[in-house]
Amino acid sequence: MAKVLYIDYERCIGCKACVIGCEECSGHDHLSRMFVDELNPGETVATSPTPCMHCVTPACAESCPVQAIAIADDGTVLSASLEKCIGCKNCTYACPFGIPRVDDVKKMMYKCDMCYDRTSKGRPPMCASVCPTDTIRFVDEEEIKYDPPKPVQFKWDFGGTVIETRTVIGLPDTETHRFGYREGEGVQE
Amino acid sequence: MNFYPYEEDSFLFSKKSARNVFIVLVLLFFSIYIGSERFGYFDMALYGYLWATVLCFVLLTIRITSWTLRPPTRRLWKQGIKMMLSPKGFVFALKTLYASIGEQKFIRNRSFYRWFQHMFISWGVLFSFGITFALVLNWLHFELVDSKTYAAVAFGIPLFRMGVDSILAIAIYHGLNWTGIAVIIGCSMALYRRVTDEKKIVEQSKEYDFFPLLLLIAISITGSLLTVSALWMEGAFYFGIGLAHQVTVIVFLLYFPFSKFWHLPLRFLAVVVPMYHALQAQKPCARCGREYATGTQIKDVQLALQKRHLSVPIDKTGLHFSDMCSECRRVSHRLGGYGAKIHLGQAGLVLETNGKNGLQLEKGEKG
Repeated sequence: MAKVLYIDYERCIGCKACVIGCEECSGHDHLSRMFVDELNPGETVATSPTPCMHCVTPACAESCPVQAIAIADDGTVLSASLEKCIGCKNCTYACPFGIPRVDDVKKMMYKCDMCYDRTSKGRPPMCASVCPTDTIRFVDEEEIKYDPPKPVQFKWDFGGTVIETRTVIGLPDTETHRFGYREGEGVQE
Repeated sequence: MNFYPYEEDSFLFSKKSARNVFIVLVLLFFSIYIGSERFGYFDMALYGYLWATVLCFVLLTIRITSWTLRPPTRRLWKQGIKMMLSPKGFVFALKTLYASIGEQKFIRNRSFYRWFQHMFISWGVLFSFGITFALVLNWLHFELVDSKTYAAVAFGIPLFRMGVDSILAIAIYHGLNWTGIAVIIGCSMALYRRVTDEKKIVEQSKEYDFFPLLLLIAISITGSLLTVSALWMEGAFYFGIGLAHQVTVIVFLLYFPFSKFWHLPLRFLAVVVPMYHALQAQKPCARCGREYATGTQIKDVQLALQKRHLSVPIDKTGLHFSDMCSECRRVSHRLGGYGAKIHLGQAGLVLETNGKNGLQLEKGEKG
């Protein structure tokens, strides 16, 4: 069963354990590929982690002039291959989710590869392993997409262009404003 | 992945490839014709290499044609060539050419060990290419002008003379041995790193990463053995070693356009990139106002995505997600998910979620 990242961002407390965990992944060369953004700085303490969304048709790879961004057999969108990447930054601008980064000095792009050394062997990525609030989880793809505990995002409509992502985002319940899950355990009445 | 080229014409690739291959073949033919002085100095010992080289050039041309038909590639090449036509751009490109291909500074910044290994491999291979292609295509040959003097002749033009047993002559005769030694050192270092760092380089594969290194080592060893046989073994096994060397070189030449070695042509596009970033005006993010890219590149990326049928506009605002910086793109999605309004301060627009996981103009706003 394929497993994917699930981000339930209303649980995020902004501790950045995922950022540090990401740096420690053996293939990551001490460069974090995870983002924790403050959503309303000065107004609220809301934060959200963002890993790569691992699009089915990735805009980063499509905009790469040297075809450096490969997709692994399991659908993981990998960082640009070091020998091909020319550091042009097209991917950083093309990605609608704002994920890839380019190191100007080393002329290389780096982004979340779902800790390919771990996930290719069935282990969870570092961010999911260290998240203390279960904001980031490594879960079964079919289950989280088609039988989710709360509304989720994995098909994005950008003015008619539909981009499907493997990473799934859990949405806050803006209708009833209840924290947690729709029904069952964890619902605060 | 999709495969839309920059123009929607199903015969585009075939037409361009046929045209480019024809041009390359004509140029090759005339270069051989002139270089060999109307086939007067044709080296028949290199006949097998010649056909493999011609086929390698044809395959490389087809691959380059296919590559440059990709919208982002075409756009970047066009911008680069346009910028290089200005004196400022030309000087910039020459400096980058030295830094990124001559000195390979970016690899040194990644790791000193890898820079060392790559300098050995790349310069070993590039010099070998120079010597091999010059001899195989008969662009260069040596003429015995008197009993103890050789003249080096390129394209029929005598370049210099040297004594047959002078130091210069010996250095030149063994040119491919020196480059072969460099390649063996570099490839051994690379193999050592790939084996010892196996857990860090998880994406490496036997076919893509190990085979090319082993192939280069095989070429260098069989080539060097030819000298060993001639100098110290009275020519024993020379024919067999020669055949083995020819087989490895031909495998390399035919494998070159479709393998890891393909990154060599790609690196020339890297020469364009620093001036592409430096010589154009910066553009502010539509939300936070921070300068994050050049306006030209944002337009190019939007065009490339449009040609790939993958535009990501923000509703009917005329803006795309690439008009915001990376952080604002991430934050906007999350705010939309929370049902909050997203104020694009610089563009003077307010967005909200469109209910389909995208963003739209706040109802009542005009784009």
